[in-house]
Amino acid sequence: MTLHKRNIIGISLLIPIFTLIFFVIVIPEAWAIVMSLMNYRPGVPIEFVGTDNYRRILNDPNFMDSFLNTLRFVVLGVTLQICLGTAIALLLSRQFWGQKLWIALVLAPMAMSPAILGTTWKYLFNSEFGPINYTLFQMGVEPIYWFTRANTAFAALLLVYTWNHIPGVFILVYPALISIPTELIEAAKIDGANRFELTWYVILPLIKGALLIAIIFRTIISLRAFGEILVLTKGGPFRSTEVMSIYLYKEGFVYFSWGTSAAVGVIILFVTVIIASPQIRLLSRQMIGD
Amino acid sequence: MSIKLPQRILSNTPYWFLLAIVVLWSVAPIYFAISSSFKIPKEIFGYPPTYFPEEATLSNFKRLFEDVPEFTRALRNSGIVTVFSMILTITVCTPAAYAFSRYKSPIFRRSAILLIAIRMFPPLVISVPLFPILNELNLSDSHITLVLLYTTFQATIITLIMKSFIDGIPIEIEEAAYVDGATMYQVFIRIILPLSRPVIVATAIMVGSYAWNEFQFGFLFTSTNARTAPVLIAEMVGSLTGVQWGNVFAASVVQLLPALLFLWIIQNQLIRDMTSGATKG
Repeated sequence: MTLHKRNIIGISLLIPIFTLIFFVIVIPEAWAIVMSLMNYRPGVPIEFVGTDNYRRILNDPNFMDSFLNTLRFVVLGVTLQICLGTAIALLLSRQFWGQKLWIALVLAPMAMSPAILGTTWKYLFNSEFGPINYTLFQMGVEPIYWFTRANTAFAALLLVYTWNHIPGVFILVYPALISIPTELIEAAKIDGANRFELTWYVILPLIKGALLIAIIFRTIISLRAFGEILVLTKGGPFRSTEVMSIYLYKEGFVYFSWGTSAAVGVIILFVTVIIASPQIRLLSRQMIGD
Repeated sequence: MSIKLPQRILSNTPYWFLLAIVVLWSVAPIYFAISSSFKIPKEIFGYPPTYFPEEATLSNFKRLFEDVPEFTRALRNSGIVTVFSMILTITVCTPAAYAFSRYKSPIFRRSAILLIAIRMFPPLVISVPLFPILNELNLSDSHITLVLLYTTFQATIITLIMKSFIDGIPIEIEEAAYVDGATMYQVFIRIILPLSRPVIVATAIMVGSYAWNEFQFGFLFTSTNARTAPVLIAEMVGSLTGVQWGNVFAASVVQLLPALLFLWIIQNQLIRDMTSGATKG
C-alpha cells in the first residue's frame, strides 16, 4: 500500500468526528460572530450594525457588573477548588485502609447534575427549615436569609460550586501525587525535611504540571458555569450572582435580543481562548505524542 | 509488632480524623437528599431537621409518579438521550482515535490540534445561534438535537482517552494481519475494536454520565417532548405554587442513583485517564 493511499484511509476515519464538529460547533460559532454584528431582534428588520452591540454591552453597567461577578466567581472559586482539592488529594495520598471507598465518597459530588445540585442546596440553605441555618443556630448564629442578600447569596453560590468541583481537581492532582517516586520522598526525609517542608518544597513542585492543568481546566469550566447558578439564584438577588453566562442567557433567551446576546458570547469565547491557549498547546503535544 | 501496631494507629489518628471531615463534607449534602426522600413531607419541613427519617416511607416515590406524570416521560427521555449519545460517541471516536494513534503525518497532527482547540469553545456561546437555526429546522425539543450536542462536546476528550489506550496495543499484531492480506478496515474492526473493549466500556460510561446529568442544553432546547429529568426537576423547584419537596427529593434520588453508580464503575479508569490525558507529555 502506498503512503498516499494509506493516508487517505486514515483521513476517512476522521470524517465522522469532523463532520459533527463542523456542523454542531464551527458553523454555529461562525454564525454567532455574524449575529453579534447584526441588529437581530424580533419585530425589527435584521441588519448589520457593525460594532454597535459590543458598544452597547460595554456601556451597560449591568454587563460590567456581570463581568466583575464572573471575575470574582472564577478567581475565588478556582482558588478554593484548587486549595481544597489539593489538600484532600494530599491527605488521601497517604493510602488509608478502605482507600477505594474513601475516594468514591470524595468523588461523589461530581455525580450530581447541576439541577440536583441546585435543588438539594436550596433546601440545605433554606432559611426556615434548612439544616445549615439550624446548625448555625445551635452555634448561636441568628438565621441567615442566604438568598436575599447579595453577599450571602454569593458566598452560598461559591460554597456550592466549590463543593461540586473539588473532585475535578482531585482526579487531576491525586494521580500525580501517587506517581511521585517514593525514593524522592525518602531522600527528603533523610535530609531532615519536616512535613511542611516536604509538602511545600518537594511534593508541590513535583506536581506543578498537574496543578497548572487543573488551574486552567477549572478556570475554563468556571467561566462557563450556568446551570448551577440558574437553579440556585437565577443571578439574583439584585444581579449579585449574575455572571456573564447568565447575562448572555437573559439577553437572548429572556429578552430575545439575540445580537447583543451573541456579542456577549463572542466576548466569553475570546476570554476562554486566551486562558485556554496554554492548555491547547499541552494537550496537542499529548495527542500527537512527542 | 505488638508494640508497633497500636503506635501506628495512634500516630495515624489525626489523619483519620481529617479524612472523616473530608468524607462528611463530601457526602452530607447527598445524604440529606437521600434521607429526605424517605421522610414524610411534614418531617422534611420539620424543625429541627432530622438526620434519620423518623418513619422511613416510600410514599414520596409513589406520589411523585402520581403527581408528576411527566417525570416518567422525562426519565425515558434522559434514558434515550443517554444511550444514543453513548452509541454515537463511540462510533465516531473509535475510528478517529485509531487514526490519531497510528498515523503521524502532519495532516493528522494539525487536525488533532484543531480538534482540541475547538473543544475549548464554551457550549453556551453556540446556544445563541443554534436557537434560531434549530427552530428553522424544526429540531428544537427533539432527542436528536441533544444527542448530537452531547456527542460533539464529549468527542475530543473521549478520542484523547481512547488514543492513549490504542497507543498501548502492540502494532506487531496488526502487521501480522497485513501480511495475511487483511485491509485496514478489517484490521480496525477485527483486531483493534475487540482489544479496545475496556476503554470503550469506560468511555461510554463517561459519556453516559455526562448526558444523563446535562442541564444547560436540555434546559435551553427542550420543552415538553424531549425534556430530560434534570430539567424537569429544576422546574419542580422553580414552581410558583409552592415546592413539593417530597416529590423533588424522590425525583432527585431517582436521577442521582444511576449517576453515582456510573461514577463508582469508572472511578479507577477516571483517575488513570485523567493523568494520561492531561498531564503526560
